[in-house]
Amino acid sequence: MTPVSRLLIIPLIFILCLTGCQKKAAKQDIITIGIVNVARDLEDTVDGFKKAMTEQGYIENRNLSYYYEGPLETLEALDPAISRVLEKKPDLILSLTTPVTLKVKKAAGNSGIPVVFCIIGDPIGSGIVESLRKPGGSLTGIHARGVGIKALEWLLQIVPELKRLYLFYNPDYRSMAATMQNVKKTASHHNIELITAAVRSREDILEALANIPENVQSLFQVPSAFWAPYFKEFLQAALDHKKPLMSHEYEWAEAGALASFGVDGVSIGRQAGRLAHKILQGTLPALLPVEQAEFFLTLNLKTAEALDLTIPDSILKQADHIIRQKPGSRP
Amino acid sequence: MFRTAFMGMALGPLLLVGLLFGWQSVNTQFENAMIHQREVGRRAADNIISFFNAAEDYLLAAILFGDLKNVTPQRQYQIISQAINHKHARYKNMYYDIAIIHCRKGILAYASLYGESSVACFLTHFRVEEFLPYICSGRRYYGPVSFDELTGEPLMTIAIPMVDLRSGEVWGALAVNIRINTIWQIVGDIKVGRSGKVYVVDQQNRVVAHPDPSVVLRGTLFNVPEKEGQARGLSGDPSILVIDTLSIEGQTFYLIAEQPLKEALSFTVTMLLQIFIVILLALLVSLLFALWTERHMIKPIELIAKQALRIGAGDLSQRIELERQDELGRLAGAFNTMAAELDSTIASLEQEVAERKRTAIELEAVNSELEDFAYIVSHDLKAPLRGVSQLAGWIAEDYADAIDEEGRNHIRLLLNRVKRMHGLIDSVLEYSKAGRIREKVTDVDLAALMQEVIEELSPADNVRIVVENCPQSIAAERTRLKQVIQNLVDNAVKYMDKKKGLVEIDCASEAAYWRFSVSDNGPGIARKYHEKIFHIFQTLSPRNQTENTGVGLSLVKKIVETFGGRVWLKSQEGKGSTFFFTWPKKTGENNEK
Repeated sequence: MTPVSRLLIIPLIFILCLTGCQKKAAKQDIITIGIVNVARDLEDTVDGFKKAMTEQGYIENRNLSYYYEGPLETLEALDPAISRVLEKKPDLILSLTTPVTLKVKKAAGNSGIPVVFCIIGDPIGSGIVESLRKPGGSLTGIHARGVGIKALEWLLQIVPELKRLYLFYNPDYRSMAATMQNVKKTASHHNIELITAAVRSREDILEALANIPENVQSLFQVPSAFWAPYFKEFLQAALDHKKPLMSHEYEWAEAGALASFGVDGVSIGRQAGRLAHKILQGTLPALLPVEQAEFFLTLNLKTAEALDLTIPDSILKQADHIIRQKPGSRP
Repeated sequence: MFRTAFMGMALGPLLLVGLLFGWQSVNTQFENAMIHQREVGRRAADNIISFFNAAEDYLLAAILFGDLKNVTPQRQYQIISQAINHKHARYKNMYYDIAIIHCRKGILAYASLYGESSVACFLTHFRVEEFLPYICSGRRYYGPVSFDELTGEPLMTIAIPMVDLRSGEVWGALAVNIRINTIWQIVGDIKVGRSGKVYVVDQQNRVVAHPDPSVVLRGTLFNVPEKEGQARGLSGDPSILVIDTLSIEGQTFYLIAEQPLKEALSFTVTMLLQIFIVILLALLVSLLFALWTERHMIKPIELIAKQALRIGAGDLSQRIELERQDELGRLAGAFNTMAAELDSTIASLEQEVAERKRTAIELEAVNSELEDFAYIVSHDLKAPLRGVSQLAGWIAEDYADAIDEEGRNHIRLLLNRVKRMHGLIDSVLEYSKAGRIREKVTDVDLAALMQEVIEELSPADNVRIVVENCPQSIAAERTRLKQVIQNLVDNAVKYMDKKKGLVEIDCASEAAYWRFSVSDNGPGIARKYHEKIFHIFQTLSPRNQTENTGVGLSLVKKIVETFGGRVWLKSQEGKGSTFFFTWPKKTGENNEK
């Protein structure tokens, strides 16, 4: 080999390495995100999530693809939907609500697929994570701990004469069961008598709504997506019985419930998107603490007027949304 | 070695300049990055201080406008509930919880943003024993950052003393736990390059504010370097850190603007990399060109040169095998053609030399035969002539009385003829010898030679022979030189027709030759005979008038030309003639025809 040939080798190797590195850097993986959503009401959460992902540079059909199972409308459709999602071997799963997240956690097992959950009342109480600070495992997300307590406190302020409360919950939902414990404690502190309606099905709900005690001053739903399909039934019953209804969805207050206190779907979705971005960038879900969701208070003055209820200005000042106009228009 | 040295000398300065330029660029960009980060950090610090000021201002407003001491507990709760749930977009949800604390009565009201607004919860979040004595003495309190056990959220207690306007005494405090995560948005809004960040670390090296909430929520620790500049950042990567110290009512925070070193210097690094790649590419192209040149030009030239040297050394069988259509191919072809022609020429020359050698041998043989022949012929011819002469002599002697005058005349004529024949044979013999018989070259004393010639010729008294300008001696074959001069002078004397005859012998030096001339003032020779007179047996006058064999001038010509000279004459009828001849100064040069 001539000296000239020998000298050629070094720059050739270097340029080849650079080319290889460039090629490696240039190659862009398509990320797949599986989404499991059981309720139509939570579509805005999915939208918020997608918007946040787009803002962070994940463009659908370019470097990102979604595999969306939802809205499923029934819990029976969950298992096959989750199986289909897992078959796609997604890089990340977004799960909405406690039942969905628990099933995803069980189905994903040790697959290592990271899961971001949201619309979860109590991730510790429902067994999704061991700790908010250090979730461990492959799940992390957004929690709404305390929403039940605060919702009750708001109801107490809005309906000062409240002494007896008709409370709806599903004992089979672990998150509702955990929230119930805190709500009971708060009610006890405020000397509020709780008349509970344990419902598991539509029939149970209809029966409970048909049998609203006359001596209760208000109706209260333990926050959960479980109530979403029974939107009209609850509103009609509250109207018929002229009882203030405290919900946790803005749409319910907009449609006629006296008030709602809970999370905003789009905000939670965006918050989940930010978490997903961190995970996709390489942070382990076990090291990402579960974040607190923001709560929003919505008051319906038309309903209050219909119930002959005067909401003090001091309360109105603290409301995020006040419904004064026809439904569907957020201030 | 030359090529290596040359490349080293060409590349060395280039690389040195590149290194110096790169170093300077890196330093400049480093400084610029620090300046930018310092500005960013200052902006973040201003916003953070503004946040704490706003947090305090809200509390002061609640104290000022709420008249908290004189209202009912329910009203107190409403006021602090409004304070905690205020909808100011900029600092929404900045308080985690809030409490009105009486210096003697304890907690009067408590509200929480997320937790239960009950007195029981108050105690878990407020270290009342720490700040109440502080507050009740009229001082503001800013506590260290603490982390909620359940959520890990960083909180900071601020307590503002409340003063009775009439007595001027401190009756209580309005205390809040500020959610430090409100500052997360502040630092999150500030960009430091593409991946740089601004974050806040407290005195216990805990990260309390960071664009990534999880960094704070998992209790990340960071040892703040003593000096800003290049250091390992929060990410662990080499970074540029600019550190600003915030003192808020006795609590110290470190606001750090961090940018990865790789990113901060990316422009310079990219530029240097591009320059390096360009240099490498240029080097690669140069090397490729050098390789091509070496292969397609230098090696063929070296091959041609090597083969040419071999051909030059005598190996004419070598051929340059270079099948190309370009100039080098044509050059190689020309060399091959030259070698072939040289080979052929040398072969021809060798053949010619061999032939000449054969010819020379034959010539020598012939010469030898001719010499023998000439000797034999002259001897055999002379013998009868002697016999005839002797017989004629005897007859003239023995029968003198019996022969009349006419008879005696015939015998005299006969004897003359015999004598002439004798002379002719000798002349022919001499002519044949001339050019063949060589003698040793010696330094011939010309004066002595001329004198010898004159004495042997014994010219008549009316003829004077003069020798002028001749050198002392010249290197020559004496016999041949004498023959030439003698024949020319003899002719001049023989044919002198003047009463006072003059024969002048002159010499002159001409480069490689001596030029002799023999001039006479005789009858001269017509121009038409200037060539003819040098032919053998040619005479201008009848032999019965002048005894002449007709061989003399031809002999002169033959001898002179044998030695490489030439002979010619100038003559004017009636006035005289001058015969010239040249004789080489060095024998051996120009004397071979």
